[in-house]
Amino acid sequence: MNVLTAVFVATAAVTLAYFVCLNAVYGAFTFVAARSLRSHLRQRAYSGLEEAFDSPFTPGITVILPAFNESAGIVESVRSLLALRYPLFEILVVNDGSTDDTVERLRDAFDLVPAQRALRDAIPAQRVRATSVSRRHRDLWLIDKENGGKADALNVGINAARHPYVCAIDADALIEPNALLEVAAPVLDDPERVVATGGIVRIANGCTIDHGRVVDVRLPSSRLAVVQVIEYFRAFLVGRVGWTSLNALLIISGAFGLFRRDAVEDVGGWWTETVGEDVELVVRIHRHFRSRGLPYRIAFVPDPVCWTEAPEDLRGLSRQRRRWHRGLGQTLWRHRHAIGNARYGALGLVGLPYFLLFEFLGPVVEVLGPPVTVAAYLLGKLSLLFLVAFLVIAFLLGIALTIAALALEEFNFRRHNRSRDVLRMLAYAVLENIGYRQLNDAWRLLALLDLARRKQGWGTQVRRGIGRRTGQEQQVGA
Amino acid sequence: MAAFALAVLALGGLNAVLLALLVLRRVRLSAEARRHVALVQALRPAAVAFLQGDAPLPAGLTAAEQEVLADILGEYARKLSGPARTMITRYFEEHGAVERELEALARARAAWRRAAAAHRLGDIRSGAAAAGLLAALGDHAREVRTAAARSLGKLQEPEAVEPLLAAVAARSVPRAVVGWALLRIGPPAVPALRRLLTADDPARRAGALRVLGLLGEPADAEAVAARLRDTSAEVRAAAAHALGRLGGSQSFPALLAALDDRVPSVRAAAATALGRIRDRRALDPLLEHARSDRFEVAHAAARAAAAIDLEAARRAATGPHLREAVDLAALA
Repeated sequence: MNVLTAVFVATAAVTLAYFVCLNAVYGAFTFVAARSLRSHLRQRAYSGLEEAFDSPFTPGITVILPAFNESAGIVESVRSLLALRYPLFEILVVNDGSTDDTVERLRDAFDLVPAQRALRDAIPAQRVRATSVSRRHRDLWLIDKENGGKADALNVGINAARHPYVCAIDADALIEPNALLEVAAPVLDDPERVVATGGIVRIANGCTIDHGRVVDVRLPSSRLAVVQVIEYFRAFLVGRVGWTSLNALLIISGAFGLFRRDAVEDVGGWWTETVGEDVELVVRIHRHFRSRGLPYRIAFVPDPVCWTEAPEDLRGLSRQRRRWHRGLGQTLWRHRHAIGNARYGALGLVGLPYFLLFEFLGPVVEVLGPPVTVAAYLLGKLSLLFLVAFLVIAFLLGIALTIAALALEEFNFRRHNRSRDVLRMLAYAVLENIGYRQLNDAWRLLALLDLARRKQGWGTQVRRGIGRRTGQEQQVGA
Repeated sequence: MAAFALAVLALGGLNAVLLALLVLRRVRLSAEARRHVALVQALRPAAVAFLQGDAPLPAGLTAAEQEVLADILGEYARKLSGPARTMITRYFEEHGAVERELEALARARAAWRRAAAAHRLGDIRSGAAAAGLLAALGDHAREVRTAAARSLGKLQEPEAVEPLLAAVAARSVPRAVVGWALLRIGPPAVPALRRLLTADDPARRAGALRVLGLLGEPADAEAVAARLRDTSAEVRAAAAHALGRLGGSQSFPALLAALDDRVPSVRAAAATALGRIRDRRALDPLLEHARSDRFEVAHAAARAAAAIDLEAARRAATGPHLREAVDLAALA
């Protein structure tokens, strides 16, 4: 066997092994998720959340909303936060040196007046220029600081927080009224062990929004956004539920996550040198508790919903996916010594290796694997039967896992009332395998080049503002 | 070749089954939801007429109709009080619902069924359910214990005070739910809370203090103030918080002394309490702590000082905590 042949055969073998392992993990997680979601929904009615809402013993939460040039949607986002059902919370909008009129809009909408806010020096951060408080809502503060990035803004929020828990929320997100109470449920249940929780992120494109609330859930007309709706079901209802069952959840979405403040302070806050500060913080918290042998839990909660705007054009989506992938790469590099390290339990032995091999390096296999396998066939190193079998099985398995994720949503949450929407999602469960997945892999492969070139920054993000028109209904991106 | 064909067939079949399940389930759930809405619409007027004393409940209902009617009455039971509430309890008692739910609470294998029974017993509010619910506080499933705690609060059962605080101390029921339940029990809980101030377990003493601060009387201040010398910092902090709510000038010296406790959370709680009592003698020590103590203590002391004398706090506003407190007080 010459070298070329060996390379082709080895690549085909790696591709096959990758494919088998990835689908085995997803298949197992789908089963786990089916059981776990069913049991969660049965328990939910008896978890005492309504009583906690009326209880003076429910711990307070500081909601931190980092904002950089969020003029388009900031007022509606804050309005949706003011409507949250939670007995004790404050909202800190941290303006990260915006160059648009974010501050002016907030000041006008909520009658903000200058007021001193004492800040801890728990986490180093950029200088705070001014602080102000709303005359109408005494628990709504604006902290205006020098630009330092999202992570830096979150760290300032930690330094200014008054409550034992902090909830980080994206400024372009809409949070459902019960979401704060629901995301805090594991904390209320087990405050000694639960250090972080995250809720589900759903896509608001196509939905009708009224006064900062999603009042009618619909699929967007954009095909690209529909595919993302399905992707989010897979990621949240299968992936995050599965990783939670192993206590190796690596991602609490930056759009909506609750943390015990002292845990964030102890690990030094959000890392400002990455574009994946949400993943990195969670990994650091895991390592902090595991290396000290302290009992802890990080949980995904499937009920609380954070609505967000998905990119509807290829350019925006490509930018987002490359940024996510770079963030993952930076996190894995920073925590490379924990990968495969038994000291970190399921995180070191399962979670991090999975994310390295199947998420971070996955695009290399997914982009290069099929052409090399075809080339191996053309060179006569593989049988046609193997090639066809591989492609057909991969295609059918991909569809099966996506339909299963849709079934999890449909059986448990049923947020899409129109049968037409469900049929469309089913159609896209097939269609996403032709073109979209390959495109996604290509973007993630480009992110590896970005990392090699040490590219930094978030890039420009165009915000349409998912609920910017008030007093009337609005369809987002429809 | 055969293996490949088999794999493709299996995966194709799996997709078809998943698809069929999804569609059938959606159709079934939609039909069930429509039927449920129709039954609720048909039975609600009868339930309202019954609660208004206009007409008895209809007889000869099917099992499904009886279940929906029970749900409607349970919904009203959560909202109503007085004679209408008593009528609902009597209806459930006469129809054997209490025995059925107690049976389910004791014997159902699935935890969610036991939790559902415990929850419904709280809505029914029959005194006959108290013993069963107290026993359910020891259930191995957390949701059952939580539902039982909530229902004991609904029943306003004074016998539940000690078991509820024991459950919180053992971390077997969420503290927020137990706090809610104890507040629902209200003044009848106070004698048991007083007894628990000297319990062996510091977590029980602290729990009792937190609730006594909300339900107790100024006359309780002396016994609560004694707990400011407790060996547990958690208890001392809870005592300070409770004194802030109970008031009473006799507790002032003890609170002032607690301002110099070695544990910051106790000092912060004492500062907050002194701000509530608003005794001017606390002003200078509070200003001192606002300027020089750790963040949480300084913050509480500054707020307290501004609450006692805004002008004095403004004149002394040299640090960020005092300036924040003064700015906020000025907005009030």
